Amino acid sequence: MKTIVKAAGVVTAVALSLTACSNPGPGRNDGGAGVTADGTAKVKAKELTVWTNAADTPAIRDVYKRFGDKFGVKMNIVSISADAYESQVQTKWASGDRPDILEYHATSLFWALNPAKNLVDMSRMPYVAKSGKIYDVAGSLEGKVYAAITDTPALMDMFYNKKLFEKYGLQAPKTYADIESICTTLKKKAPSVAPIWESGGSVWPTQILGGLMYMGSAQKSEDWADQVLKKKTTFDAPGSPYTAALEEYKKLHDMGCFNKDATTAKFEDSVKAVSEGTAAMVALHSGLISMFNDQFGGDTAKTDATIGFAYPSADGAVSAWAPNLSGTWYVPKTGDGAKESTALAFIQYATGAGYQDYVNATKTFPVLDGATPPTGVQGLAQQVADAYKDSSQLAFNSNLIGYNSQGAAYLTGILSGSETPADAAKKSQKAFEQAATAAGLPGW
Amino acid sequence: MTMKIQPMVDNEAADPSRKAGRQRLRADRGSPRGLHRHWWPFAIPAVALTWLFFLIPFVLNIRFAFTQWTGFSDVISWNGLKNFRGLIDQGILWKSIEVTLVYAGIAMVIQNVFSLGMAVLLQRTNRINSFFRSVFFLPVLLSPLAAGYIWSAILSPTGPLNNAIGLVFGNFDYAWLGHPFAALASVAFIDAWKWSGLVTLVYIAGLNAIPDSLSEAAVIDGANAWQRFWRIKFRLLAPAFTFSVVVTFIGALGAFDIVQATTQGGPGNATTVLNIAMFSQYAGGFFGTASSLSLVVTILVIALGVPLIAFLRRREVEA
Repeated sequence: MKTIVKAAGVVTAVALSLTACSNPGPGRNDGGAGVTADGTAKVKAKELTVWTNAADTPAIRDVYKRFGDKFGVKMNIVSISADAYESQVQTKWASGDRPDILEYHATSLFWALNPAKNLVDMSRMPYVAKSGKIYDVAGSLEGKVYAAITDTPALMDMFYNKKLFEKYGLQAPKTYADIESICTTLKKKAPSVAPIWESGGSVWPTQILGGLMYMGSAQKSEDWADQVLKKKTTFDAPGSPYTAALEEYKKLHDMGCFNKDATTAKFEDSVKAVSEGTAAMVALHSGLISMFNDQFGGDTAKTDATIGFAYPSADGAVSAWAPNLSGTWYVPKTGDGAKESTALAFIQYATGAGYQDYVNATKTFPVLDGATPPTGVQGLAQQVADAYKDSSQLAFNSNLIGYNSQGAAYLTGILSGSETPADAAKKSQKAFEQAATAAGLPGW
Repeated sequence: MTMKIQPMVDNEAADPSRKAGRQRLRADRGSPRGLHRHWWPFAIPAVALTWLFFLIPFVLNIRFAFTQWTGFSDVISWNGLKNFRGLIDQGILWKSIEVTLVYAGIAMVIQNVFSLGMAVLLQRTNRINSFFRSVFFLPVLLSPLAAGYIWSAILSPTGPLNNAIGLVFGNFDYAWLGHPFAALASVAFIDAWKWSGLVTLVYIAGLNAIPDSLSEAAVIDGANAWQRFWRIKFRLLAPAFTFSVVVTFIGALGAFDIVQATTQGGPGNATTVLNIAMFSQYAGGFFGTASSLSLVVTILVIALGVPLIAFLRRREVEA
C-alpha cells in the first residue's frame, strides 16, 4: 500500500511540476512553420479544418465550398453553437486545440487568444491595404493585423415600423429625447402598441439601447472608450456619459416605454412584433435584416415599405458599428507549414479572387476597395449603408475587455430592478480595471 | 392475530453448523495474510480513476486559483488572493455564493418533500403505480438543457402556466423568470422537477425495506396513519433520507445547465450561481478567476457536505 501511495505522490508531483509554470493553452510553442503572409501563399495541403459560427449564413459557407472546389481542398467545417461560441472556442483553445482557419470576433475578445503567440501576423497581406482604416480599431493588436474582415460592419441601432410612424405623425428618432417623445405619443394615441421592444431574455440586445446607441455621441465628441483605456476617465466618473446612458435606459423603462415582458422576451419575437406593428421600435444589429425579410415571406419590397432604420444617440444621429463575427477570419499557428500556407491561400482567395462572389451573395456593401457594390440591394440595407457613411463610431464597448462580456447582464439587472445605474457603473469600472490589469494592456 | 418480536440472537450460537461453514469458507480463501496480499489489484481501477479525474485536477486547480492565468498571456504567475479580491470587488463572489446556497436549499427541500410524498403514494407495486413511477421518472432522462428550454417556454408571461392561472384569476402575465427571487425559485424548481423521479425511487426502495410487521404492530398499539408514518417509517427511512438530502443538496451546488438554458444567470445576477459566474470568467479568457470560483464550489461542497452527512448519519443511529 505504501508503494501505491508513493507512486501516486510521484505522479502528482510530476503533474504539478509540468503544469506549474506554463499556460497549457497560449503557452503552446510556435510551430515555426515559416510561412510568409504577404499574399504569395500557395495551396499545399489537401485538407483544412475551420471553426465557424453555427449561425453563419449560407453566403459565408459558400466561400469555403468555392475555395475547396476550386483548389481541391477538403474543408472540414466544425460548426460551434452561436449561443456559447466564445466560451467553446476558449475551452478548445486553452486545451491546445487549433483549427487551420478560425472565424472569430475582431473586437478585444480575440486578444484573449494571445495573438502574438498563436496567430499568424497578416499585416502584409494585400487585403489590409484595401480595407481603409478599419484595422486601426479592429482585428489588430499592438500594431499587427491578425484578422481578415470581409463582411460589412454591423450597426447597433434601431429598426422601426414606418407605417405606425406615418399613422401617428412621427419622425425617425435622432436623439434619446426623440425616443422619449415618440414613446409618450404612442402611449397616448396607441396604448396597445409597445413603443420599444426590449429583449431581456436574450440578454445581449439590452446593451444596444442601454449603452451602444447612447454612447455614440460621447464616442464622436471625445473618443470616450479610448480615454477609459488610457486611464483619463472611468465608467463611474462624475458626469460620466456611461452612467447617463444607464440612467436614460432606466428612465425609458420607468416611463413604460417597453413591452410588458421586457425582462424575459427574446429578440426573435421583437422582429415579429415590429414587423406586425405591435411594437414600434427595437434596438438590434443590422445583421438581422434577413429576419425581417423572413417576416414578409422573403419579399424585400414589403420589408422596405414597412421597416425603417434609425441611429439616434444621446444628442444627435451617430451609428455604433462593430465588426461582424461572420466573415472575420484568423490563421492560427499550427506548426504545419503546408496547412498554414493553404489557410493563408484561403484568406487570399476570400479577400481577392473570391470576394466579388461573396459580396454579390450577401448583397451587402464591400469593405475592400476594388469590389463592385452588388446590384439589387434592398432599401433597408441601403439605409444601413448610408447610416454607416453618414455618421458612425466604433461601438464603445468593442475594446473595453472584461466589461464587454458583463455589460448586458448589468442592464438586465436594471430592467428587473435589482441593479441601479450608479452601482452598475461602479461594477463596470471594476470589471474593466481587473481585466485590463490581468491582460497586461499598455499602461495597466 | 398477535405478533411477537423475536429478540436478536447470535446466529452462529443458535446454529453451530453456520459457524463451521464460515470456517470452511475461510480455509478455501486462504489465510488472512493472503487476503491482505490480493485485494489491491481489484481496487486499482477505482483508485486510478479517482486520482486521474478527481484528485489530480482538484490539486492542480487549487494552485491555479491563486494565479494570474489568462488567455492574453502565456505566463502564469502567482498572485495570491488577488483573484478572490477582484471577484469580491466586482460583487461576484458573495452574491454567487448566496445565489448558489439559496438555489440548492430550494431545490433540495422541494425534491425531498415532493419525492417523499410521491413515494408514499406510489409505494405499492401495482399496474397504476408502475405507470406513474415511469411518468415521474421521465424528466430524469431528459437533457437538463432541454428541460430548461421547455420550462422557459412554460414560464413565459404568455406561456401555458400563466394561461392556466388566468382561467381562474383572469388575465395573468407574471414574468416568472423576470423578477429576481421568482427567477431563482423558478430555476431551482426546475432542477427539483428534473430529479424528483430519481429521489422518489430511492424513497420507495427505503419504504419497501421497512418490515410491514412494524406498522402492523403500531396499528395494534393504536397509532394512526400519521403517527405510523412520522414515528416509524420516517425514522426508519433515515438511510434513504441521508442519501437523498445529501445528493440533492450537493448536486444543486453544482448547478449550471438548467440555469444557462433558462436565464443565463439573469435577470442581472439574480440566478448567477457559482458555475455560471465561472463560465462567464472562462469565456472572457480569465482562467485564473474561473479556477478561483471552481475552488469555491469545491470548498462549499466539502464544508457543507461533510457536516451534513455527519449530522444525518448520527440521526440514522438515533433512529
